Amino acid sequence: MAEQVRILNGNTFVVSDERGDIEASRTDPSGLFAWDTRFLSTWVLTVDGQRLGTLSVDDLQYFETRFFLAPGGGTVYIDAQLSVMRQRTVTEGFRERLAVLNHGEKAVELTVHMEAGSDFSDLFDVKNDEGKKGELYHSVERDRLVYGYRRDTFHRATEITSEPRAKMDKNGLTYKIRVEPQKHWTCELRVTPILIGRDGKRTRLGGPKAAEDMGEDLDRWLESAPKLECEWGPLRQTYRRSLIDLAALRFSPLTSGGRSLPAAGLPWFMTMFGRDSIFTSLQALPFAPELAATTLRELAARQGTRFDDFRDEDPGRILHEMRYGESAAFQEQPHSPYYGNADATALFVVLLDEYERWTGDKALVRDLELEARAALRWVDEYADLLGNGYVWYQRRNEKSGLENQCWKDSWDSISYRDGSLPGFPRATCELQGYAYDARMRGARLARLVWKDPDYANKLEKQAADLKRRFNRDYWVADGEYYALALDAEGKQVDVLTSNIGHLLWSGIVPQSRARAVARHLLGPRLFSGWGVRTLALGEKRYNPIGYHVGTVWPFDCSFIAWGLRRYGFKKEAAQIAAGILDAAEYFDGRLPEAFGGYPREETKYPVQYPTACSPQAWSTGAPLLLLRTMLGLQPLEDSLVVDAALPMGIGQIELLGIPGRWGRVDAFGRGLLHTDRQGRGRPELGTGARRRVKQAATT
Amino acid sequence: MPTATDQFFADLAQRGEEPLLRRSSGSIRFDIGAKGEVQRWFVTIDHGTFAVSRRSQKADCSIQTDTDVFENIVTGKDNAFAALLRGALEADGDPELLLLFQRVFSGPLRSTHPSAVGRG
Repeated sequence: MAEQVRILNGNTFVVSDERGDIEASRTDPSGLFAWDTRFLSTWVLTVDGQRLGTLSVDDLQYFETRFFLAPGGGTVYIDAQLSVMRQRTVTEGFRERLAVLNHGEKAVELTVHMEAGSDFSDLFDVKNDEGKKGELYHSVERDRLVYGYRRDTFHRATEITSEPRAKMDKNGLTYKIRVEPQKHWTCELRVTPILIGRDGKRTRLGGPKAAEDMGEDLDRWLESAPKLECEWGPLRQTYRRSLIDLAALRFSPLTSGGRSLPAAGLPWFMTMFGRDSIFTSLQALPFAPELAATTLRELAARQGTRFDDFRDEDPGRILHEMRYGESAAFQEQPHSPYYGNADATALFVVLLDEYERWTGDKALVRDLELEARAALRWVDEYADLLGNGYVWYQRRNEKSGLENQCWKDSWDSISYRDGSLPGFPRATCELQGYAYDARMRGARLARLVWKDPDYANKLEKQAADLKRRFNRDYWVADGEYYALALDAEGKQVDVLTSNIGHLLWSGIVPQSRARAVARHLLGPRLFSGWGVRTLALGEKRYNPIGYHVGTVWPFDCSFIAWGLRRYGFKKEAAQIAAGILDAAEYFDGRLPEAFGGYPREETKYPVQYPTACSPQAWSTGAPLLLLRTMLGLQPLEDSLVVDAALPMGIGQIELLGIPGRWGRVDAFGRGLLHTDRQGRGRPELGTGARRRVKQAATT
Repeated sequence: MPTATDQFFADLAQRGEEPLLRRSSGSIRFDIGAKGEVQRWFVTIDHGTFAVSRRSQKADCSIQTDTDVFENIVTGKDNAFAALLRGALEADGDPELLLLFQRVFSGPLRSTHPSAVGRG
C-alpha cells in the first residue's frame, strides 16, 4: 500500500494512506485501532464520486495530522478550483474536521461522501488472517451511525456522529453541499469506539486524554526532560526525536491512575511488555524516571501468583505481554496476560534497584518488597527447571506459547556452530547474567531498605556461587568468549553472539576475562562498524539481514556500551555509541528496531531491516542510554558522577538539568577520543567519512 | 451441598492476612447470577485482611457476573481478566481493586511445571 500515516493516543491509533483514507483488507494493518481491536476498517472520502489526490501531509503532532487534498488523482490534472482539508486528531477514537474550499468564481454544488465500515478485527487476526466468529451489524440511530460486533457476551461498537448532520446509511455518510465562490464548507466527524456491557451499558474506550490536553502534555514532557546542547547537530535532532517518540509510546493501563509506562512499539505493540517496558525504563532513567516507577508498579500488580500452563504463569513471574482484544478474551491467545519470558523477572529487580539509585525513592522499594522477593524466588526456584542452579526456559503452552523466551525470540536465534538447534529447556547466557545482577542488587536493597542482612548475605552467596559455576560451564576456552547457551545435557551452545555484551552489563564476568570479551565485541566478527552483530560473521547461521542472526540492534548495542563502561572500556563504549548515533542520522533520528549486519565500509549507510514496527520503544531509548554511557553518568549516593568519554567529532556537549535524588544537575563533556578508523575530516562520529546521502540535519 | 462460589467466600472469610493485598484497602461487591436471582457478597479488604458479608451497599468496586462464569473463575477453569474482556464479567468503580483481588483465585488444577507436579 501507499505510504502510511500513523497517529496515536495511548493504545488508540489510526493508520491511513496519504490521503487520509482507510481501505483495510483482512491482513492490512490500516484502520482505527483501540485496545487491540480495529474499530474502523473503511474510511474513504470522495467528492462527486471522485477520489482525492494528496497535495501535502502535515504531521502536526504525534496525535494530529492535516491532509491537504484536491479532486483528481495526484499525478494527473488537479482541479485547482477546489481543495479539501482533513484534520484528524486521535482522542477517544478520532475527530476529523473536513473543509471543502471553493477557489473559483462560481458557486458549486457537490456531493461529499465518506464511505465507512468496520470489520472489528482483533490485532492478532490482522497478523494471522483469522476469520470472524461472531456477528457484524450496523444501524442508524437518530444522529449516529453505528457499526457493531457481537460474539456471546463480547460486544464492541463504533459510533460515528457528524456536525452538521449527514444522510447516513450502512455505507457511510453523505452531504449535499453548496459552496459559494471564495467560501468554504466545514463539518466535524467523530468516531468513537464503544464497549457494550451485559445490560447494554455503553462504555467509551480510548485514549485517556483530550486533544487539547495532549498538546500541553507534550510541551510539559519536553520541558521536564534535560536539555541537550551539542556541537554535533545530528545528536540534537536524534535526542529530540527520541523524546517525542518516547512521549508517543507512553501507555496508561486502566489501573495506573493516568500514569504511563513505555509500550513496546507502534503499531503492533502498543501495550505493556515486561521486557521492553523494563529495558526502555532503564534507558530513560536519567531523562524520565517516572516511567520506571509506573513500569514497576504495574508489572508488580500483575505478577504471577499461580501455575497456569496456558499463560506460562508461575508464582513471582513478571508478565511478558498483555492484550485486550477478542483473542485474549476468548482465550484463543494466552495474553491475559501471557508470562512466557525468562528475563523480565530478574530485570524487574534490576530496574527497582537502578531506579532507587537514581531517585532515592525508598518508599517504592519498600512497597514492592514482597514482589521483589517473589521475583528473586522465581529466579532461584521456578526458573531452575533442571535443578542445577541456572535459569532455564521451556514453554508449557505448546500451542501458542513462545519457544524462545529470551529477547532473541525468533525460531533460529539459538544455534550451535554447526547450525543445528538445541532442544529444550535452554539456558541462554544473558539470563544467568541478569540472575546474577538481580541477586546483587536485591542484596543491596535488602540491606538498605528492607533491613534484612541475612537475606542480603544469602543472595550474595547465591550470586557468587552462580558466577563461579557460570564461568566454569559457559566459557568457550578455544574462542575466549561465553557460549550463547547451555542445552539440557549441559553442553555449550557455542556460537559467538552479542549476548556476551549483556554479561558485561550484568557484572558476571571476572575482570580477568573482560578484555577478551571486549576484544570480541569490537572485533571484526561482531562489530560491523555501526554496531555489534547479534550473531558473529562466520557462524553457520550468520545472515546480515537475519532477524537475530546477524542484524545489529540499537537497543542491544546501548546495553553493550553500558557494559563496556562498567568494566572501564571507555573508548570501546564510545566507539559503539559513535556507530549507532551515526546510524541514527540516516534514519532522521529515529533508529529502527534493527539494521543489516553488513560491514560499514561496504554499504556506507545502514540497511534497515524490513519491519512494520516503528518507532520501537527500546530503539527510541538507545540514544538516551548511549548519552548516559558516553557522559559516564553514575549515581553515587546523593550526587551524580560525570566521567565523560566521547568520540572526537561530537565536540562540546552539555546535558542540562538531569533529574535525580540530587535535584537537577548538569553534565558537560568534550569529544576527545579517536574512534575513527579512517582518520580524515569528520562529520560522522564513527568513521570520519563525509555524508554522501544528504547534509547533516540541524534543528 | 455448597457451591464452589459459597466455598470460595467461606474460605476467604477464614483466610488470614493475604500479603499480596497488604497495600490494598477497599470494598468489592459481587453480584452473581442472572437478574432476579442475584446472590450478593460484600468483601472488605483492610490491608490484606478480608471481611465477608451479604450486605447490600455501595462498594469501591462492584462486580456483576453469571453463576457459572464465577464458578469457573474460582475453580481455575476460567480467568477473571479474560472474562472481563469478554463482557462475561463486569466491573464498575476502581478496576485496580479487581486486578489485585484476582490474585487470590486459584489457577488450573493441573500444571506440568516441575514444582507443581503432584499438587492438588
